[in-house]
Amino acid sequence: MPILATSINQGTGYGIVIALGVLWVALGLYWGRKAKDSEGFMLAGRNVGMSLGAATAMATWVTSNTMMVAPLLALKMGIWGMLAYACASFGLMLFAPLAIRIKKLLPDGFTSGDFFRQRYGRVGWSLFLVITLVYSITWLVTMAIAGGKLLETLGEIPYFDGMSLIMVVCVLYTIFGGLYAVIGTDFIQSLIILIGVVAIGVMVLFHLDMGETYEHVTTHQPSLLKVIMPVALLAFFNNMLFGFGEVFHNNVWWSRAYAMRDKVAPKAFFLSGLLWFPIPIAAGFIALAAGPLGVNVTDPGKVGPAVAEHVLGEAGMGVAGGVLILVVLFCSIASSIDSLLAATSDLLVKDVYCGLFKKKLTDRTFRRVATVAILFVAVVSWALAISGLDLDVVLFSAGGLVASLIWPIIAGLFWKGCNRALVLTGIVLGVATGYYFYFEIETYTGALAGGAVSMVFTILSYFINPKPFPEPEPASPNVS
Amino acid sequence: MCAEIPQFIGDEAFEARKAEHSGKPVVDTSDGTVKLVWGDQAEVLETVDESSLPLFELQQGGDESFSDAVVRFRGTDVESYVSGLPEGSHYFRVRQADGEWSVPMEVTVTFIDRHHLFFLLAIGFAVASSTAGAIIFGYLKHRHDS
Repeated sequence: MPILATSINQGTGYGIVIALGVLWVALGLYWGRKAKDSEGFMLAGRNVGMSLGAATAMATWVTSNTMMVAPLLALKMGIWGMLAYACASFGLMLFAPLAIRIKKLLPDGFTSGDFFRQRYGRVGWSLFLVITLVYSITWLVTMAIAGGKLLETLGEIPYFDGMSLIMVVCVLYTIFGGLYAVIGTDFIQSLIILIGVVAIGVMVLFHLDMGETYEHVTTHQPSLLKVIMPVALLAFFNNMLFGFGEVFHNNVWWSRAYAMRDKVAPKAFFLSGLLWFPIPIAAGFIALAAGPLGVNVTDPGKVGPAVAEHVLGEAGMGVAGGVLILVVLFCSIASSIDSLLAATSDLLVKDVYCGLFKKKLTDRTFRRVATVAILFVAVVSWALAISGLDLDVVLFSAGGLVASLIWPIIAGLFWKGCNRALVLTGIVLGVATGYYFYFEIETYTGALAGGAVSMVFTILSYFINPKPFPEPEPASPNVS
Repeated sequence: MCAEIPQFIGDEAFEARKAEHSGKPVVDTSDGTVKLVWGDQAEVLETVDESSLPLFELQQGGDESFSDAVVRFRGTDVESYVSGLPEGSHYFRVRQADGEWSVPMEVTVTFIDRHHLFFLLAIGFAVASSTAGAIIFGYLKHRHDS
């Protein structure tokens, strides 16, 4: 294996991951002391302020996918690929006005499932739970895969060991601290990510001859700079709708909206979207430099860290460069895995265990059930991640799933009523169309097609035999 | 690890298509990317002493004569991911050190039909702008609700 100046040996790789892991778990234990009841554990006492709110939203959206898939899209699709990934930030920005409405309609809400149960009844709620649980597990799997590949590339840690280690660390501090630990660690992780990405980006800029880079790409990869690059243009709209669907429906974002103070939530989401926008562009630009720098790409899923490692080595940073990349990427992965573990297990506890199965919980029994739910989500994701599938294949296959929920959420939040059956039919057909387009037409059309079908049915539901939505009711009758 | 004259290899579908074309590797792509493989990269990664690995050269040409060939890669890797290829046919060949060239691989890039593309883009624009519009309109309508 070629030895780069930045190469970290296996012992150092394990040392960094374990040191960071111990730090996060210790902080999880410390912050977890505040979580005295289910509301504290799930929603951090509904008292999250501006800095923590914006930081946790940004850090959660800077996932391993941002750091690994954004460079992959840039390598495959060039300029449009970078912009395609960056436009996922519009989802966060548009969630700001939604957050205002969410807090007005469901001031005591716990999960996004509460909203679906009230607006679309038991059938709609069940359909939503299937979609969101499948998607959340898919998202977790992509992050576990990215974590394993990252540690394999940078720290020489075997894929299985690295992937398992990251999952164990995140599971531990999420179990100990709930959303308090997740938001607290997200704040620190977001600072590390921002400083690290800026530092790496500046070094790449200083060590690249922009003229040569342009000439190389124009000569050898001309499609990457074309205005009409078909697959990239499709990816632009597809990713935007994917981002809308992901943010609008997922309990990761709803739980944060509930957790933030009323006036904080919209500002925090809008600010986090603005802060997030340049990150995939910076990460993607690194991948465009692969050819000009003479980096042979063997696994496109690892192009980001591979090029960053090369550049920092050239910059004379030696092992410190490798450590910097590893720490930044480890933080980006942990900040998303913890959020998804917490939010998905909340859905399992509140909506499935208490809601669908009608079980009652006290604050004491809640922690035990929540722990089992976190472990269950983690083990399923870990088992699916063992295969190490291609990241973008796993992620983008779910586009139709999430995009089909965009318009039903908008309708439920802003309209007085609709034809529920038509909306739910639109969701089912949108999901089916999304998968059909993904597998049969073009990879980057799943969210686009699914979102379009669902939108048409939802708009029709406004005009064809609409019924008023029921008045909001208490969100979580089964937890005392 | 690799034969004296390296050859492009791939999955079952790749090998079946190669057999159909009398041993000539042929690949179609709709996004201008292709992964070229002529050995086991895992073996390369596991090798501690890099100097013991053979050196390869990968060339790209506009036709099978490779009269306008450019070097895409020189090194010990046995895989290379190529992206940004424009529409049309592209040819690749690989050799070990100064040895004989492999059977060239023909990669044909055909992007999605333009009519379908613009139709899908129009849908994408319509859905994205309608979504943003509906949210902004809904927010303005309900902003004073108690």
